[in-house]
Amino acid sequence: MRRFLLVCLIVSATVAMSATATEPLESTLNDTIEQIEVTEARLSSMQQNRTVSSTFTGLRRFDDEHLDAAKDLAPLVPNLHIPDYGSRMTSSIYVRGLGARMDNPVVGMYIDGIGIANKNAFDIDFIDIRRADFYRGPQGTLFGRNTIGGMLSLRSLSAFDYQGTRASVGYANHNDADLRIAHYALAGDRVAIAATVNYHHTDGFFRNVYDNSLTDRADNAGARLKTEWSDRENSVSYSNMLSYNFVKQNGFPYHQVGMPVDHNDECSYLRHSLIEGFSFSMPIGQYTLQGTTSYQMLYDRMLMDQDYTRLSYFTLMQQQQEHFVSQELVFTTPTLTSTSGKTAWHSLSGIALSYKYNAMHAPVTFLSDGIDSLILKNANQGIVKAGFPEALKIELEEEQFVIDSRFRTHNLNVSAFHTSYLQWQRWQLEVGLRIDVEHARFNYVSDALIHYNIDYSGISRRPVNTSLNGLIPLTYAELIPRLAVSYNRPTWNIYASIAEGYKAGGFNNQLFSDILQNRMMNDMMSDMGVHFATTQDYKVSEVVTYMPERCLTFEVGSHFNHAIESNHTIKGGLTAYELEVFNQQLTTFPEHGTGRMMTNAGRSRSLGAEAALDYTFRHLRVSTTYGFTHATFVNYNNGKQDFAGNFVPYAPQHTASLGLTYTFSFDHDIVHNLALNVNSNAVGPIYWDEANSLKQNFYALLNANINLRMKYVTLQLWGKNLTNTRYDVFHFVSMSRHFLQSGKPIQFGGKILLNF
Amino acid sequence: MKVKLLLLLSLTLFFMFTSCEQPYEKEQSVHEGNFKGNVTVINGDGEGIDYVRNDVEAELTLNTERQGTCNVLLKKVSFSSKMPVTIDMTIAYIDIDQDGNLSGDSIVPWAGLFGEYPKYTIRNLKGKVSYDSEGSPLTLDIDMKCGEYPTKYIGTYIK
Repeated sequence: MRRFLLVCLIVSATVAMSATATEPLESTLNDTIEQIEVTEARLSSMQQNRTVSSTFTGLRRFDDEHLDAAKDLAPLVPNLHIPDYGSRMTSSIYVRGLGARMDNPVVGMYIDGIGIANKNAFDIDFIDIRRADFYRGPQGTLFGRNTIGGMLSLRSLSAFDYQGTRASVGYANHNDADLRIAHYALAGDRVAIAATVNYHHTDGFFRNVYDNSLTDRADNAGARLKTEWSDRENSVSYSNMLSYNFVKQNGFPYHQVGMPVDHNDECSYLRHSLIEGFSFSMPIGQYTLQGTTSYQMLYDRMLMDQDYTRLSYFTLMQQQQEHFVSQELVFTTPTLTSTSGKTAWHSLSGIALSYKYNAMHAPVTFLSDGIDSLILKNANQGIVKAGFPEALKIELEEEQFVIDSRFRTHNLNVSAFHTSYLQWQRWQLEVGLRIDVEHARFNYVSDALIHYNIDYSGISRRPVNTSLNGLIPLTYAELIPRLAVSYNRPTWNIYASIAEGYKAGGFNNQLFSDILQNRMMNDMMSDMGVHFATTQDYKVSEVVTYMPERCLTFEVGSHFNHAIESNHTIKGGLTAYELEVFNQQLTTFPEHGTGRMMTNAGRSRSLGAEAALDYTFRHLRVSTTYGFTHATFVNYNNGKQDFAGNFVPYAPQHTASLGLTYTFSFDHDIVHNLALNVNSNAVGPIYWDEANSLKQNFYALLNANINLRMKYVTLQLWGKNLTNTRYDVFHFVSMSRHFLQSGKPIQFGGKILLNF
Repeated sequence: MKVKLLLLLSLTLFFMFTSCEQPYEKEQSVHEGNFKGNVTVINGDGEGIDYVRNDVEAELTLNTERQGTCNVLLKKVSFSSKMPVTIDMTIAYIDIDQDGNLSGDSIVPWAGLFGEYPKYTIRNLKGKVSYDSEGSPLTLDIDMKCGEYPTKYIGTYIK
């Protein structure tokens, strides 16, 4: 902590000494940048056509309301829920009743036009994000796989729009320290360079009573270099972004109901992620060609005490290295207008190619309690039931053994899309179609070796070597259509749309420890001449593979933006929708096993409505959102229970937010204004299982921010969950035990922001 | 004298060759083989309901320790639908003659590596290996009382 403070002092002094007398560009930092042109063709099209429900957040709001990550944005978007649990690897996103806790997400994430390939890399600190747009509803026609719930687009601050230095130092309770430095400069008229670095430490909020350690202590750091070249006269631009992110943390502070966090083995997460993306835009005659090339690397390692208790059942290490390359090209036609001027047409077309290679090592170590309870207990019970004396007990020579699994996945995706926009007077028709072809190959090797004895029989050290290996291919093609019609007036519009999307299929590697555990037990018993009559054996390819989840959305909505008299502005949107989900992918936990598995559950339906309102009057701003989702299973029978009619778990039925900001302006050279903000976010109820037997009730959190803006410095005080509301963010069942993660308690802190 | 020595030598040689404990040489026999068939336990499920276990493989091997006997290994066999596991059960030291007739009584079978399985002591075993005209085995039929229940095995030669 002392070293951190010393570093902050040195940095602050250095920044102060190098500061120029440049006036900070206030307008650049204001929320009025919603009007700033978005250059990426698809995003620009979505902004202009207004047939998508969306939420915009600007840089000022990020600074003023302490919005540091996607999880902080969620309360501002109706029907969006990103619970904060587990670790930075966990980016479980729920929107309109759709969601996923593992593998593929329902929401895509783009940073400066580059799609982030792996959900594990979603949870990063937001540094100088100039604008964030969350588009709700399926965006698959333009953006492809894993956008059935929506798409989050982040645009970082460009040196073309702001030059100078921004730095901040913050400190909060639980020893939470945050340092950020960014410099923006022009090299001539055409070249802009932006460089940022950041570091964040927190001791976390939860203690593991087993050894009194900080169970969610975390350090993360990042750096970003963005270089842009622009010839605005000729409409040619190039942009290169290089971004690195590092996370090292303890994690998974799960506890049994009514008990504290209490586990004896390590739970941690380590991540290195790198994104390199190059984008260009150039005219070809009257047409425009844009392209993005990206390379992304992810290395992470998760360690988990998989029973989450102080007993020694089993531990998991999951280590992966992933490489991803992609190329996207988007071709935009000019707007062709009829001679009468009443009809116009333009279109977007594009192709995309991506390849992902993932190598994963995921050994599960069975420890003494796990061996006794999960392997020997079943085996010895079977022997007694068969009529043998109890004295003939099986024992393992090993006190612990490893089920070692290695996976290699190759994934190739090729797609093409086209969207036409036909305008007739105030009406617009949008028709689009995308075809995605995906081919994946999953190579698995899993094995274990144990030695067993049978008491009183003279049988000792008999080896049982169980192994599984194979190759599973998966190929599918998806057609993703979209149809939308809108009626547009200068200050309002109404629209209706029908769109499809899909969440990619894949392979459930987390089930392998369960598969091999069953096979090992069967192999051991068979070696003894005893065979289980009803085995829990699996046909690997059928159980491991899951197919794409498809979603069809019907949506009607309206946007409005009115200036009422002078000084009053009101803007917002209303939406109503129906989602039909086919082959829904649901995470389930095997009843007497470890890990998780994905199944195509059947069908579900979600009906809902959303409202967002932003009202400003002189120095007062009021923002409010509300989302309602009624998401239920149409049919889902897992072979043991029928869940038809039950609520889809983990998706909240209501989301709401209300924020009030009042700004006192001072006619002073040094002190400019004082902004007081209070806001509340609410969510719930959330059912924790398909049987709807447990739920988190509706709850609300109260937050506040005070910003005193001066010439070069802003002083900030902030607080979150000021009423210290107790709530749970996650629940699951493992080995017939119920586990929860609690929500974060009250947080408060201060920050100094410098703009030069 | 020479004749007596020669006679003595011959007798000595004769006794040498006949009195040595020669190991029982397992003759190449058509009686051995693997069969696949059904086990039927009369009233095995109670209330007059027979229990039938299909696709039970039986391995018949000549016993090298005791001439004139054989072992029958029933693989993955069960004797009631209530039995939660199947077992590999060996019935050893069954008498067998040159015509393939089997007989035995009060034989305690072995279950896997767990040793004797008194619960299923074999009584009044009668059986037959049938052959074709060339002496190759065709079928294996066994009638016995396995524990408390009359039990039949009928299998067809597979290898």
